[in-house]
Amino acid sequence: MTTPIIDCLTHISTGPDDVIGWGPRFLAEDLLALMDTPRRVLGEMRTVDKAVVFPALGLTVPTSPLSFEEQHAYVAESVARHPDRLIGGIALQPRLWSDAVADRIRQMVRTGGFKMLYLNPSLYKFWLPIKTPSESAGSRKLLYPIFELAQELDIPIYIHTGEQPYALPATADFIAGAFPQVKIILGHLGTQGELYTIEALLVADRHPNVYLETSWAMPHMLIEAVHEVGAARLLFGSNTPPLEQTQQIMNVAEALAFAPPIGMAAAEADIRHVLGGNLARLLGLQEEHDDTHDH
Amino acid sequence: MTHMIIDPHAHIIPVREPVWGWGPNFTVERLLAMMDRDYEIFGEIKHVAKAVVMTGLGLTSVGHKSLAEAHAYTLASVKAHADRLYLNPVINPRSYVPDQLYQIRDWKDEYNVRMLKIHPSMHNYYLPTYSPFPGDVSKKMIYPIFELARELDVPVMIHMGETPYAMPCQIAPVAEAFSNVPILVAHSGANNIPANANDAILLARTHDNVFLGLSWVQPPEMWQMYYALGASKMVWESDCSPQSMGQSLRLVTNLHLSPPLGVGASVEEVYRILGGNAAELCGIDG
Repeated sequence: MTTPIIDCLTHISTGPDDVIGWGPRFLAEDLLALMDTPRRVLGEMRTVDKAVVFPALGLTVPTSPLSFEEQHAYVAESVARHPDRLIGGIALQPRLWSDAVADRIRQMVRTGGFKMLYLNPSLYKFWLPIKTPSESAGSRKLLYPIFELAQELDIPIYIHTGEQPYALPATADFIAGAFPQVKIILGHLGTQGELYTIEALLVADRHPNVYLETSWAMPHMLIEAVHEVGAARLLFGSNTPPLEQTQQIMNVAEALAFAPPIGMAAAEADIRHVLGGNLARLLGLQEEHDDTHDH
Repeated sequence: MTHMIIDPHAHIIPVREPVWGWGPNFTVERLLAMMDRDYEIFGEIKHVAKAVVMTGLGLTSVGHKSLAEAHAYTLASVKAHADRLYLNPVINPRSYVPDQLYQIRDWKDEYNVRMLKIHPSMHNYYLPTYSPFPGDVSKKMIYPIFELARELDVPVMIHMGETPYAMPCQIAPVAEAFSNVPILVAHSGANNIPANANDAILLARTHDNVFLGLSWVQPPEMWQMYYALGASKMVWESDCSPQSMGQSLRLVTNLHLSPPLGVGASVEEVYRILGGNAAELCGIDG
């Protein structure tokens, strides 16, 4: 069976994202049409097999008047309509946390096709915990229950990284060590450019439970990532929208496949795992894609 | 306007790049092979027709090579492929100004010189400032290069992207002093921090002779450029090597997509960005 292409980060919405700034909408059908557009990947015409879909982040910020349920209604409905293609992602604004929200998340994961949590320190306005008790007591109170739930449900937590002051990749170091059983995905290779990528790689190097998602990544830093932590912990994500899936696949494939100095001439099997095999394994999709065992 | 794709920003070098470290080489044959790959552009298979090439930047920075020595391989390559390649000599003003600049005048026709390149970060200098310190020293190094560009009727490409020497708005004083010399802002300053391109956009909005290169620029800043400046000031460039061309071309063709993935730019506008503007700036015939 061919290694699947699975996109770790996409968003769908029936209206504009007035916080991130894209619009006028991006429906599940728009995403599926993009996924189903054949493009050449490593010499073969391929479509994208599956995508993890999150709500438009603008719906989930602290000023949003929507409830947790309302924020995720369209994603839940879309995943229910396309369970073979779309994997639900939960964008959790931590201050919405309650026993009822925790129970709803359990239900979404156990029966609703959701398999990933997402935290955005910049948009949701929180610090990741650090060691100084006075600085991090509030943060631990806010986040530890979420990490405990992820551990209970055995699902990864995606943490957006890339800007000052809340989303510096190095600040994920402490919680990655505090919850070694929880798989943590650092978003955007630590950045939306080059500046903080090295930080993300250092955190991943220190913690085997930390993975790196590739959207926005500078090509040469993808190469550095493979050399530092190995291809098995790199996960293709497109961040569609606002980025575009095919361009982001090309960004990864060209950087890893071409000979130096353009790329690193990585093994084709490794590249295929970055494009989907690794995420299939992380999300427990092996049954559907047997050859993801071979890594 | 022809639908020719022109890359005004490529590097070739027969050895490992001595400062950046990438290698083992990127020969002219490898550049031509990259240009000749099949790129799908609006449903058609296209190739990169022409490129303006530079030497590996490190050759001009370390090892005390003369201008001619640092460009020996590039000169021979351009001459061997004169139908497709043009020269953009990289000028280290601390080493080559004023004594070696005259050679570029001699190279103009024989080696297809169509642009001049300066790199404040690689060669450790501030561009001319409004203040006399360090402006006066900088003017002695940089003004002769702009005077040569004006004489040869070619644009000046300026690398941008880092503090302290290469933030896009630092170009303003020299852009005003030489308002009739076109300036191409390489990377739009976005190669380390994408948001730096906003600085370049403001610069281009306020200076008619400033154009923005798109290598390393991310989509949100590219969209901002389109609305702030229009397609006529946006210039696709690959920065190959070390960048590949396919994903970089795709970023620009995606401008044709409707929001939220693009801005709905017309096919003609996209081709203007992919080659039309470079052809006009560098005097390259279609």
